[in-house]
Amino acid sequence: MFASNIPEVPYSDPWIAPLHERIKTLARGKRRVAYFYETANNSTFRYRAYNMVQVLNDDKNRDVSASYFFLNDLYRMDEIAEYADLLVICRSGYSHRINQLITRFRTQRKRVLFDIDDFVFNTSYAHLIISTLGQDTDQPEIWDYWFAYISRMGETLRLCDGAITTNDYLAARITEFSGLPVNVVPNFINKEQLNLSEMLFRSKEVSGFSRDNKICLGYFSGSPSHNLDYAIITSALEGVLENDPRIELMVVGYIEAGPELSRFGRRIKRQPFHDYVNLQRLVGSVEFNLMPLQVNDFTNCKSDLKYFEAAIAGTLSIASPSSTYAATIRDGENGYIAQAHQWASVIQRAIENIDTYPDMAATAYADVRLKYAWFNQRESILQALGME
Amino acid sequence: MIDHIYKVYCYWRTHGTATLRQLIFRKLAYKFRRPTDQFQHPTEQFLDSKPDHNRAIDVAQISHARFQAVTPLRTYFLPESQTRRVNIVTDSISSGSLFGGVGTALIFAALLANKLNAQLRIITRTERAKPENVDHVLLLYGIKLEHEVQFKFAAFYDQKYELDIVKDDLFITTSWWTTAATLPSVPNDKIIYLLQEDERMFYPFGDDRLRCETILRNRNIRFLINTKLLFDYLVHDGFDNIAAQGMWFEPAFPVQVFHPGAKDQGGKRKFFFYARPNNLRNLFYLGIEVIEQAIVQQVLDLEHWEIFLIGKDIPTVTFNDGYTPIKCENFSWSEYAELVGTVDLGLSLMYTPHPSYPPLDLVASGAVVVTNRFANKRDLSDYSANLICADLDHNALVDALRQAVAIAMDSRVREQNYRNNGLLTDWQQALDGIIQQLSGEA
Repeated sequence: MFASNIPEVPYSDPWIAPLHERIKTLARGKRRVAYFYETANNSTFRYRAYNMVQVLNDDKNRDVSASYFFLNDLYRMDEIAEYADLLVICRSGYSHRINQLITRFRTQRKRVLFDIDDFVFNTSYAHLIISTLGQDTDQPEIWDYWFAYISRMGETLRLCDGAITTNDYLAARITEFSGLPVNVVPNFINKEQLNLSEMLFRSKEVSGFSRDNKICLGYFSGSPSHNLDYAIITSALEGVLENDPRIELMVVGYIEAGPELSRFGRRIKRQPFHDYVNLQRLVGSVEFNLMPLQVNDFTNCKSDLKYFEAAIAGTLSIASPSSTYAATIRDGENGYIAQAHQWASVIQRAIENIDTYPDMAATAYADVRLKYAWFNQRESILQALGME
Repeated sequence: MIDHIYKVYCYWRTHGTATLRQLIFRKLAYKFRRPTDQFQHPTEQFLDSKPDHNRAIDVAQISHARFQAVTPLRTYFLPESQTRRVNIVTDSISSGSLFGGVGTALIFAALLANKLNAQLRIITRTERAKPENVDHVLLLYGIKLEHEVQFKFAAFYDQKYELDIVKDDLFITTSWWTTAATLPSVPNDKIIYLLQEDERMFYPFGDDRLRCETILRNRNIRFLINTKLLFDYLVHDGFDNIAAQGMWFEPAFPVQVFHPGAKDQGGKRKFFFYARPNNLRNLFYLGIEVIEQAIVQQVLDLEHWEIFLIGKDIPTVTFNDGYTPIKCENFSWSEYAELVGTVDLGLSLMYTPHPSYPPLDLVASGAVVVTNRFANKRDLSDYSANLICADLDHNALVDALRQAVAIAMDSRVREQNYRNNGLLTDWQQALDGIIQQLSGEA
């Protein structure tokens, strides 16, 4: 495990701002983009609206300005439509309000784009999604919920003029479904996250990546829907923990380590869900970040955010070869790829290669900083918005 | 209590360890899982209740309870997928069951998946898969999967799992019961039944055998038979569907796995007996009687030979004047292959038309082996002149052992026979024609 001397930072959601300020922010540029999301959260909203707005507003010339709005703000829908040149609706299901919002922009001949980060708009795949997420298919409410959720999402998508998404695989699924033009803007690291992560990386670098005599594997889950993904590695973890007393496991977020591993006692460490900035401290403390995924058409659409958030904190990842991970991770160079049957042997290989850790971590860090740091996203965002 | 233990013992004698283990798993699963099952299958209610001989039970419930292993797979259609899939349906891929037939299924499926640019999905029905076992086999045989592999535990007692399928998915089934479980759930022309034994011979004449034979006569599926000998036997026995829709292959024994190992110079020579008392077709009792006779007749001189019993559930046997052989059980595959490489002479019986793997493993590793004749299995010298086939009686087998000892002691002849082995050594080559044909049709 890596020892960190970077203290925890005080955290509050940085996106909290009164509506009048957000309208003012929108109105200050020459070309203005309004992002809509139903209600702020730490996941899709942060990546697809808050981070985009942060990049667009980092413009000394005030050429482009952007702001984000929520369902509760729509009583001032007319003002938003008046100021904004373009509306981006992020992952929102159809409702009368969404239709009215789109209609406001359309009647003024302003474009509306749909931004989505998950394959949740085509009901033909509802069963696959429910099954992949390990939902209880015997509950009729589950079917009602997912069919409604997915079809509402698909309907909003169809009302828009184009789409923006996180990777090429998902872009192809959007085009198949809607026939709309699609641009890709990857998920990326925002200012707050980058600042702390860079401190973590530098501190590791200065100490020569010094560690205690343990090797900690980390599983970080932002939602409880990853039980079946985690199950892919349980048997490999059992074997690795059994064979090597140096190995420890840290399980973070909404997931349990599982009864199979309870016999390893204190070697299994449990951490609660953390805010996204301080989570980087935990991610940066483990040697290997484990990212198992069941591979299918749903999971192939997932972004590679778990990889870049580990790499920027100087931590190497071991991942399933889903579409995005396979495209991003060069096995043995900037991380490791493990097919479902190889987890035990790949973890073993990664441990044996621990001497090469600093070089690999530096490669991954440099790759990620170039590709996923917020300050390198402006061009692709403007291009996706048709504002280049 | 004694009665209960005796019943379990009788069940074990009749059905074997694997089936008993399945029954225990199933009972435990019912015990622990039911509270979450909102919609319990009526058969489960029946199975789970205390025996009540006055209670009316319908035919479906009785049949389902008796033939649980053929409970259909739970599948659902997806409109399309970006990745095609080759599926294996098998009981288990635990390290104990992965080699031999199941290993062959895995190798075949992996090579077919790579050829079709498809994903491999391994569906197990009695035990959750340990993925690292698959890694071990594929590494050993030098096979690298082009796409991610998926593991799915589709237990026949589970009400929850589901398998997504698309129209192009192929299913390789590995027994009559996995075939029977797959038939109602996927398009039948997508099933390839990998048949590695005349499975009717697992049973006395009765319901199991009848159901097995019905599956073997299915005209809607394709058959892939392990060895031409077994294929010819089935065709000769009237399976015209297999004659029409069957293909066969000969197994391969790669040199990196099977090869002569370093012999203990000056030590005793090694005699191998494939000892599985609970797999009746391996004729354990005949085998130990023949060994006893060979020792008495000085065919096997214990001054010069050390006897190894390799298998499962082996009792502690003593031969002739109290000699106790060495028992080898629960070996990993690499331990097994290493031991086989040091063997000089083997006895491996199989009371079916299939030559079976152990005799071929041994001759591939440079040993001399005696096995038995059965139906059209008369002469296996095309595989190796070190493989001697004898009639199934004590004297014929002892005579064959005498002949085999002579070859085993004659290093020049034994070496020459080994060099002229007719065994294939490359799985890719062994299955190439089949895979070409299937990928052309698929």
